[in-house]
Amino acid sequence: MARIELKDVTYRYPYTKSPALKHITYTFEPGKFYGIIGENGGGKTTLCNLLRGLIPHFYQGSLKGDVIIDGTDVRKWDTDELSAQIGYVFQNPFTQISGIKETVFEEVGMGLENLGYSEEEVIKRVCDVCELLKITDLVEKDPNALSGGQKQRVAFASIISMDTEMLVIDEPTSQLDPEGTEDVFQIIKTLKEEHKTIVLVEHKIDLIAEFCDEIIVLKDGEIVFSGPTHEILSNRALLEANATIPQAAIFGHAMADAGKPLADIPITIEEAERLVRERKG
Amino acid sequence: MINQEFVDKFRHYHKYGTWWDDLNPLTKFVVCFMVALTPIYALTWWYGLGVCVIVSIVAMTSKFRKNFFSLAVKVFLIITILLVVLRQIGHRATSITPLINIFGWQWYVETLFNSLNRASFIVGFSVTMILFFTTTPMRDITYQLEQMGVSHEASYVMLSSMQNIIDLKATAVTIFDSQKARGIETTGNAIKRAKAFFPTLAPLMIGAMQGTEEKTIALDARAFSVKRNHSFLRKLRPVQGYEWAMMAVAVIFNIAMIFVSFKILKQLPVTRFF
Amino acid sequence: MAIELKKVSFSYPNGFEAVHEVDLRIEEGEKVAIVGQNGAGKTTTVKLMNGLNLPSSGDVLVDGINTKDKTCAFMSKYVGYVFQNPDDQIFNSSVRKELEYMPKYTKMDTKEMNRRVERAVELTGIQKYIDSNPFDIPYPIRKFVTIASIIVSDPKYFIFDEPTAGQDLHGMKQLGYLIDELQKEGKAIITITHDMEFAVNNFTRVVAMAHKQVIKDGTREDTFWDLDVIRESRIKQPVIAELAHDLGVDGNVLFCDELVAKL
Repeated sequence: MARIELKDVTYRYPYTKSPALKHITYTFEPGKFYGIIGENGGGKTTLCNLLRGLIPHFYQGSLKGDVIIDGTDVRKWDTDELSAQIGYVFQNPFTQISGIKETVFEEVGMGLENLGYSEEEVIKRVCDVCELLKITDLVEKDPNALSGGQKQRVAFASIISMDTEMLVIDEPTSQLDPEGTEDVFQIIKTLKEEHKTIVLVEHKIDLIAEFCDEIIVLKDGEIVFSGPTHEILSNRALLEANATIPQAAIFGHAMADAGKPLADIPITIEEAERLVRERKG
Repeated sequence: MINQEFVDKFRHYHKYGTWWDDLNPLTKFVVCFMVALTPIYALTWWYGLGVCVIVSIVAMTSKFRKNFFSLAVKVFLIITILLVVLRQIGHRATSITPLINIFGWQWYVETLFNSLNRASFIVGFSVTMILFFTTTPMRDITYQLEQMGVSHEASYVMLSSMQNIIDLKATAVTIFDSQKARGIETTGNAIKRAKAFFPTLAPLMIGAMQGTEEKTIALDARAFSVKRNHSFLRKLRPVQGYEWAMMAVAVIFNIAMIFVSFKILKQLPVTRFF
Repeated sequence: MAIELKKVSFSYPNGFEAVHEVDLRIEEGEKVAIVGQNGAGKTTTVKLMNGLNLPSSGDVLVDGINTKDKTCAFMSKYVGYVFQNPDDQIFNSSVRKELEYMPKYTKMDTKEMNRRVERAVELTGIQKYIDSNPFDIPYPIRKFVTIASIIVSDPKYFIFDEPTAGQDLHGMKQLGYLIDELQKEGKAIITITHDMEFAVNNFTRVVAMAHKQVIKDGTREDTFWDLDVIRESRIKQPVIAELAHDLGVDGNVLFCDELVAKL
């Protein structure tokens, strides 16, 4: 389940001349964590919209190639049912709060109400997800009066409570402060431990380096690099392609250039520390 | 740990803990509406006042009494005073008994009662409907409407518009600041302020439109449009047997008042000031 | 010539005090980053610098002018403020019109206006969007449009509120470039940022705020290696500093080459 296959997909938004995605072929396997990085305007959010089924159902335009979600072509999926299959969290914490619920508890339960779960099931799931994401202190509060970081955590809880196999997460921290960002990192870590299929778009490359199994680098609507995280992020070509790479990797390359190479190019600070200690012996 | 007492509340019908507030919104509406119509037939100042007094007594028992009184008192005073004063300008032939003379402005008793009668139907109707709307939160109304088959899209529109107004206000302040900070004068003479109007209004409208697109996507992610039966975490007690009886009584009372108003009330000497 | 905050407190009309007795002085031509958690008082503090907020007590002087005596629009000639969300500002139907709005509002002469617009466009790198509708261009680029519109007004002091949000490497480099260029022209740049890498790479002076007050005002080395300040203001050290700290390398290392040289 939750396997998505893209076969030579090219997509152009309505009223635009050039395609936002070009000839994308990729398979998203269940239970894996994918990071999507690359320049702005490179097609990251468009790819999210595609995986979420918003293309072609919400955004019109021209879609060529095949998008196969759980064995069924996206065009044949009932768009509303897709939302029960694939969760979606995006950057703006303010527009993700429904604005019609009085407490966070009810806000988190809203998706389950819409899916028609029984009262006990809704209560159980909301309690579980609030415990899991450590937002139990927020449940009685008015969701409209929360800070951006708190709203984003509630937005996550609201989607995770629906227990979809797959989650598409588009720049969840770009409007948050360091503490809010850290809270979202913790949530993402929890999700990884739950073995969800996750697609994450994120500028904070250190987050990508820490969690992702595979990386896709997009540029001008095309996949320019893809593969296992370590392999991609430690690749010198990425540095030369003007992509953001982890500070730890920059450090690793700099050590090599200075004639003090480490055994491997680190991509996280922990790796860098270990490799430096090993080198010193 | 989640406060279990708080969670338990969702296992029962939502309770305000007062008799009136816990009536089903439908009951409240039918009773209020039926009563609200009667001062219109009666057109009699003491009847309208009586309705206001009874409504106020009911409101006293409500948790929302503050909201009720802050609005009802204003409506009551403004409408009554306005009508009373306006009616004293330009008299009819029936005005014969002088009341007072304010620096040459002659007030008449007949005109006073006439205006009070007129005011009583507007005030009686408004105050009774204010009781319904101030003691029944919007989400209770939309909940009951959904139970009666209204779509939850309609509920969403009604509920979110309140929040939207709050959000829009906050955004307007930020936009105003942002334009001030780039040098657009927002204080001073009328021309200066008029010039500032467009730069603040346009981003507000564009922002609202963009917000709508994101909101749609966010709601969609919460399975908002899935065509299944919805469940409700927060539930209201359905209409009880005695509530049906209350509604029936209200309807009968309403019909009776039509008869009483036109056959009896108008004949009483105390009301015959027209 | 400087922006001076003298024992400034600020309370909102509802009585909530957001800034408590802050002293801060920013000289002409300086580059200052202000870091700290949300709620620490950063945005309230910078809004005091252009008269958007007026102090409840204390005084704010900009080149000797007390902000209490002038309107915010007047202060904008001295202090340009780029808001966090570009959509709160942009309203014209093309980028060019947006940039020309203020010059036309102040009846600037056309030649001067064109010169300034050209310069602002060059600094922000938005040449290829100049005739586009601002709402057809990506959000991170819109941010550069608002920066450009403030550059056109040519104030002496620039305030940027979270300029890096959503920016990619290219955007980061563009920001670094324009900040350097503006400084060369003698402008002061004051930036609120959550991005410690951006702060350490572009700003020599770093002010840390927490609980409504400035808790540290020093060079980037001082601030980012004051571990008590890091903890109290709940920020993070830049990655290289953290690595140096974990490895026990001393000398307040902040940059990659420094660390490489020390290993």
